Amino acid sequence: MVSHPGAEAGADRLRPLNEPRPVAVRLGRNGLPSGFEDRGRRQEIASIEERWVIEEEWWREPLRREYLTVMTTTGSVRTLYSDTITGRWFLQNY
Amino acid sequence: MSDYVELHLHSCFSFLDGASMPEDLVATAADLGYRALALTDHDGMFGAMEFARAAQVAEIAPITGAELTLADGSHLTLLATSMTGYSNLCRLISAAHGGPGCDIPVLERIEAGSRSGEDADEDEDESAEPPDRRQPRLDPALLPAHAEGLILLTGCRKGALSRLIDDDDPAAARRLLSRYHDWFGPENVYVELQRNLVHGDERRIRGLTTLARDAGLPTVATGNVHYHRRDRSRLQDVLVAIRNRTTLDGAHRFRRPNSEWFLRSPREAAARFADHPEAIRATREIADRCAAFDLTRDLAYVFPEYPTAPGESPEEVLERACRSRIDYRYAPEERPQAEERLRDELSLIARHGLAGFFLLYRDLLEMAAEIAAALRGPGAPSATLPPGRGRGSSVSSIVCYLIGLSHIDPLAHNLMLGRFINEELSSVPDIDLDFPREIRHALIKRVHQRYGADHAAMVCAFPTYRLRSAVRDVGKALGLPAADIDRIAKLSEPRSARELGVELARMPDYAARLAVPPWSHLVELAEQLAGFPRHVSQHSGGMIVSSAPLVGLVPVMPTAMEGRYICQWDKDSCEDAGFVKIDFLALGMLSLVEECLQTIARVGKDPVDLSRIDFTDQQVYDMICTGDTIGTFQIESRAQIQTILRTQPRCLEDLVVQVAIVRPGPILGGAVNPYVRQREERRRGHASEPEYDHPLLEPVLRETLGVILYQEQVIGVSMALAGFTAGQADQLRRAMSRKRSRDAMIRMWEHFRAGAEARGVPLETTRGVFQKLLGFASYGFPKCHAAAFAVLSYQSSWLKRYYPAEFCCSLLNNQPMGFYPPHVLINDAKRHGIRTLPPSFNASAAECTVEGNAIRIGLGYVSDVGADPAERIVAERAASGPFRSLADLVRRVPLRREAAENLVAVGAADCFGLGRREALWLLGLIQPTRAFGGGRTPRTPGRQLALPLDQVERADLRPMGPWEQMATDYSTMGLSPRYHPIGLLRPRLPAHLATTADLATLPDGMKLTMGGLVVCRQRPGTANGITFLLLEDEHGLVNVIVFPDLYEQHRHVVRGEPFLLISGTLQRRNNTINLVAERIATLDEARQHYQRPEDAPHSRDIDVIALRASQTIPANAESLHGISPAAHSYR
Repeated sequence: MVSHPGAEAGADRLRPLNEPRPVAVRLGRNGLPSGFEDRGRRQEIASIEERWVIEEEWWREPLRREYLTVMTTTGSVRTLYSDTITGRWFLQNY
Repeated sequence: MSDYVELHLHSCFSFLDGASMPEDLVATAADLGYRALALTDHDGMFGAMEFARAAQVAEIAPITGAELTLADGSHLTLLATSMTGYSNLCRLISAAHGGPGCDIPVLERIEAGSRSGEDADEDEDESAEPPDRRQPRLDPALLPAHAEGLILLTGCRKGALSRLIDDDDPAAARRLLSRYHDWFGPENVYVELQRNLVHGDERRIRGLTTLARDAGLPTVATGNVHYHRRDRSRLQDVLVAIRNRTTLDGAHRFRRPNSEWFLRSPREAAARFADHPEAIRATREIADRCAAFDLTRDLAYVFPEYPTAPGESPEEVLERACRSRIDYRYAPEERPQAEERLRDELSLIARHGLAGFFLLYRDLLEMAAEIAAALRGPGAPSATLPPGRGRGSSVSSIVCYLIGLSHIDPLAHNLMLGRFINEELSSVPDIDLDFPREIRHALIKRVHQRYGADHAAMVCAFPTYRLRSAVRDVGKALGLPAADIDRIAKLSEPRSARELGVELARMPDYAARLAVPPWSHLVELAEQLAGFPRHVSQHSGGMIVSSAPLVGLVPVMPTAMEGRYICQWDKDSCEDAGFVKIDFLALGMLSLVEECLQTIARVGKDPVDLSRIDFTDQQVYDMICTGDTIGTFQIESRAQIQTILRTQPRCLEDLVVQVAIVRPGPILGGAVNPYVRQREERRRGHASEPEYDHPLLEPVLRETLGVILYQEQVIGVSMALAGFTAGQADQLRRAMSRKRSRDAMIRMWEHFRAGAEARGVPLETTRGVFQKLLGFASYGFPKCHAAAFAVLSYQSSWLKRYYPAEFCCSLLNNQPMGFYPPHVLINDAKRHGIRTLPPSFNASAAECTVEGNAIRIGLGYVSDVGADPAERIVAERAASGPFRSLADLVRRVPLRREAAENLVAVGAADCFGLGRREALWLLGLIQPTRAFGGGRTPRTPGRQLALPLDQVERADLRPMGPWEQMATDYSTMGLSPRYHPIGLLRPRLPAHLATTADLATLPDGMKLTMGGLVVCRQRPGTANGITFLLLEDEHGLVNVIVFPDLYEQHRHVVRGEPFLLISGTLQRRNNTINLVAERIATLDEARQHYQRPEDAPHSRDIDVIALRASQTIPANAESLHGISPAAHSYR
């Protein structure tokens, strides 16, 4: 319920949704993740369904991420990415 | 070593998509250990020959293929396993472009190859790319009939099969694969797998492998390579932005998502497909099958045979043709020598089997003669002119002279044959012919008709990125401010884009920013882009004819001109393919000469036969020697005039030298100054013996006083000094005329050095001479070519000398041509007593015409008028009499508003007794800007009868002042018949400024200031950074020398400002007069400055007034014989 529909949608009222969460990832022997820990829960990766890399905006602020869509042993499908510039892993919910 | 062979690879000949040159791809492949490599550019074979040649040198087996775009926009990869397969591929590509024998319409033709390309972002919706009508499209129905000898790979992410998998339609995918299977056969169809880490790749690969397994077809892995190194991905992004005419940000949807499209090592590529080893093995199998075809070896090109009567050989026909003319061409005492030369040539021609080739040329010339006769009409004064003329090395041949391919007697001019044809001829000699534009145009069409569109095509050319074009395109892609891009492009020298960094470092505004993005990106990317082809265009004249259909040898595509086709190879690739290129070039000066002769006859003067004029007429040479050559052929440029004043040519032979000497070759080869000095010394009567680098060179270089002026002398020097055979020497000479000639020549250095050593030439001398040859490699003329051109130089000078009005009028009608803009031409004419009259509705023709001793500007000369409306005005006047008033004109001839306004503004309505402003006002009344009661646009003329406005009271308007008239004239015609801007400004300029009229009387070393309009700016690469300006005032022209330091201080003024005020020192040397600049200012700056007289740049300037008043020639001024218009007044 919007309390006052005429109110300006100021920047302070905008809230990013669905932000990626940092996760701890364990790498397997092939250099790809074999499992990760999300909010204290260990997840094992059963298979990697899709793998892609994006590189963007090298002319402004370079961004390079390697994405993986994985299926966990519990049957859920999750998307992880590694910021290959900082080396940190994130979980991205879609 | 892995088995992997890259079978899907794009070079920069996938225009604005591939980001590496073939040679870089090959070099990287060699480093990575590839033994075979395919090139599969989009819809073209543009780079195939260059690639194949480079690959062979690197010991990599080249595979020839292409990625075709089908009618639905999907892609398909095809590779040739045999000559038949290659031919089929060429036919398919030709068909995709709407080539001959194919009825697929292609709207915009010539650039069809230029905008092809795959979407960058494979994941995006197909419709993301703006629809581009110019893309080639292949009707898949043509595939089955052309499948033989080809291997089909199902294509990239944009392949039809991939799309069906992505769209989750396996049933349709199976049906499509089964069609491929039926068309090409099971052994020739491979399902293509690509893994470039793009979202969706894994899913697609799973789908495709399942599909292939079910259909019993093999898979093959490819890399879809678009650049040789990962770091080129940035350039690729930029190319995509350029192709879509947007910025990098704007190209987001079209760009590739990552940098994974580089050439990986075979091991790395195999590792990427470790889960599909069979797809890696397949690359090797395919490469092995494709190895059976070698593009550099298997092309079955045959030059058309010359049809002869039974029992008669082409050699006999040629000999008869020559002998029938020998008596006509040579006096009895010359005949024995001519006979001997003819015998030698005919035997060489017979040995190389070239008689048919010469006869074919003779036929072409006959065809041209018919065309010329038809175009000129019966009894035309230009009928005495040959339809075309030889140029280049063929002019040295007596056979060419006798059968009419050349108009120069090789014996009289002592022309060596070796450059044209010799014992070891490795390819067919070049015969180049020049024609007037109209004749050439018709001839090309006729050749297409004679041999059939699938047997004849023009050679193509690839305009490449240079500094300015690279700055504009890359700058725009990077989103740099348009003002900066424009500024850099304007302030930069025209040179290679590799030098952008150096160039920017010189510009104070940008030097500091060089190291920071986005400027650092601009420099880096422009350097990478240097030399990339931008699109496909036509070569200036080369044409290929073939006895086998040409479309089976190289793809052929239509041009924008109806009935004209081009093949996809440039002249180097055509030469490598062994194609015989016949050259028809358009020469504006020939068109001009034709017109000038007609004009002379039209104004009632006696017709002129240019072949019978006196080539030793000293009045003509007098004119040339004073540097009065503006408008003439080849000897009119600023640099030419400066040299002429020193060399003082006095006969045709001297003109031959003159034409050859002001070329980058002789200049960089260090030939000009020694030669000119020798000439000057000889003229003064104290000639010394020319200096030769080595006594062995004397016989070769005696004629040119010890320096290398002509290409033939390169042959002579390498034979004399290094003992080269004629064939080797010619190889060296040929290396000079190709792209990257320097590298090719450096490779010959070893032979040269060894040869010279064996003859006892000291290494230092050898090195010095070779250095001169290297310098010469950047363009020099063969002597025979210079001789052919010199004749035209003389003829044009003769016309200028005796028919200056007709000559200048023809110059105006044949623009653009030559070195000077039209306003310089009419100012020059003015100095010769020829007036220029403004256009007039009642007196002008559509083109410029001669009226007594004046030139009347044609109606069509005015911008926005165009030939058709101008013709309509003239036709109406001829049919129904002169126009009585402006209203009468508008009533009788409907004109577009801009056309009518421009004509009136430059004085076409003066004949009605109206002032220009008055006439413009009246025009507004007669031709309403708004149509009444209808939806017509304001720009279309109203159809209702004009109001009876002749009686309208005239408005009392202030007449247009001279400055306003002059400005209007320049902006609509590029010239002003009556006013010179400096003449109008003169009363406001300080009296102590020197004018060009003063120069003849001012002494060397004097400090002075001059103001003028800059008509030419040159910064030749050969002049060590010196800039030359040609400054024009109301009396004449002066050559200004700007040294590099001053140039750098005032670069934006020197390069951009139209009016300059230059203070400096007058330099009179060897007949030339130059102003050496010391201070440069714009006229505006100067006016403010001069408000305080003590600030005048040189107090001694005042001397000018005193000298002008006394009108005496200072004692130290050299005798004024020979002063050029480049520093002279013809009041």
